Amino acid sequence: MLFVSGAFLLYFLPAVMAGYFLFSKLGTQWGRLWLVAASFFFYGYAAPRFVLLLAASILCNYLLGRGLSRSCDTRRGRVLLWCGLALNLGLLCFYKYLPPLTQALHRSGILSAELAGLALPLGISFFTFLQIGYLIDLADGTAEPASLLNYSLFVSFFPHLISGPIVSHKEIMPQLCREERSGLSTEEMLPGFSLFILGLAKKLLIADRIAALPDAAFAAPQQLGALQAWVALLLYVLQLYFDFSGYSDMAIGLARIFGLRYPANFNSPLKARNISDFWQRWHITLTRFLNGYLYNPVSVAINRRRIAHGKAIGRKALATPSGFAAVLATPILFTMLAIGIWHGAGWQFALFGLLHGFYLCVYHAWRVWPLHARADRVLGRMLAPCSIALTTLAVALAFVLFRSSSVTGAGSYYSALAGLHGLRGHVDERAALLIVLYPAVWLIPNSQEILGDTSAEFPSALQWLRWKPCYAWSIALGLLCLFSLFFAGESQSFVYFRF
Amino acid sequence: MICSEIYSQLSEIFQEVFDDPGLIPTPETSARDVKGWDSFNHINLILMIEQHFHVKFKTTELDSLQNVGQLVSIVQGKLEQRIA
Repeated sequence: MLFVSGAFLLYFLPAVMAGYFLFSKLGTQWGRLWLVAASFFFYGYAAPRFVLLLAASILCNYLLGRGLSRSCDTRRGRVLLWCGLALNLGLLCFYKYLPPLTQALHRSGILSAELAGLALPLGISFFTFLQIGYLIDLADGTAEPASLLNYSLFVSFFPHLISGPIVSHKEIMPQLCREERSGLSTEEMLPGFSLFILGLAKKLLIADRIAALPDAAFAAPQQLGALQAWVALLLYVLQLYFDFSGYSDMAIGLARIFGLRYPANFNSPLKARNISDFWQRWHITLTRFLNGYLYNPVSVAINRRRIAHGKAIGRKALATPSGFAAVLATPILFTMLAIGIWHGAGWQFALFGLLHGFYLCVYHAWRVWPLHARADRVLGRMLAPCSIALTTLAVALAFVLFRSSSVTGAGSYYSALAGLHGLRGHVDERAALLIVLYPAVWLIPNSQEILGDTSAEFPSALQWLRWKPCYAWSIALGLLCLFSLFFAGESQSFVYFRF
Repeated sequence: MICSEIYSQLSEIFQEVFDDPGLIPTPETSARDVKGWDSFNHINLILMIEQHFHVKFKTTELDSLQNVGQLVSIVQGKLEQRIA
């Protein structure tokens, strides 16, 4: 069930809260057991045939984890780890990357429809990565084994189960191990509900309102004039941001209601001044995961090899193109390719990742080898708005690949952007939303800043926007919630549900 | 090796990696406080610390080394393990 659905808001959430309140009176473990049961019910409601898969994944990984914690830093431990990685990634590949191949075989008449029609289990990309991280840390001795109950809750807790954030055991297990804290508390419920409602409004009032225009544009790019294409693309960037950050706010808010603190997943990415900054602000938990488990090991391996062969590392290595390619470009391209294909099996996702990898290489190369002294001085003094605009433009162009259903579709859209299908075309009045929403994302603090969950400086002119647990905020958020629910149209599924 | 010695030797490494002769890391110094402390330079910093102190970090430890205080205590722990 969607977080924005009546079934969730009117039945599931109140029932889970009431049950958690009551079961916690019996003990912390009973409260957690209730949450695990509720999470499995939540998953089963959306995807009943995959509940056993989720349960089996959790149990297998738990048992592997027990084995790893007893044999970390041994050969047996390495074997167990590789088995665990093969099982998890194998399962992910089977459901995520095999179907396009089986569908192609079915279209060629080689495979039957039943074998070609495998559905993707909801949340598999998320709960697979989460468990892989835990196994790797157990194997390295940098994680402690958990009880089956805590582990099940860590993996399956319904706020993050379907679309993240990709939480880390380092931030969740210590919270679950705190025995003295259980049950509901107003200190956590008030900010939790507030963040949830802010996310709800972002999704229903903004993301869903914008969606129709980009959907129509990407469905038929060959009919778009350049102006229409650019308007739809810039609206799509906003749609994706408000949809996914809205979902993340709701997930983090829900977890907070039950006393769990999740990491932030967005930090005003459209304020990024360069592409590296963008990836520190967009889908932060995915970047963090792939940085830690892919970029770091690849980079360390390459550099240790260079040291063993007497080659330079660090800034000295960047002095030559081959050094740059080895120590910087290779780990960046590996990581960004992984980010791309994590999103899906199509070539357009791989190209999306590689394009961002290229952007990052250009960014780093510019810092190492300024093209021309005068140009570098000019760019170095580039006003923040120009840096932000350039970064947003680069991000938007890459999102064409992300949004298109195929590389051909993306090519057609790029042609439209270049004016090859005509220059203008009829531009919907919803284009005016660009004039309102872009300044809003640039100037207004984000949800975490409003709630006071970050140390970022709050604009002095907007101090009244700081969240406080008071009647005024309660009334305002209550009205916002009702407004969002009553004036929302047909709600669309969250974009990241399909990953 | 006592803490102050580790800090003094670390300062030289930090100054070399971040190309800042005036950089003196304190226990509270973190990646947010140092210009250029990104993923690339984080790896360079860790590898130079490995070479200098003859210790080895696990790749899963790297993410928890973004604060100098934690870094020093982990280096100290590894040095003590080596002696023991």
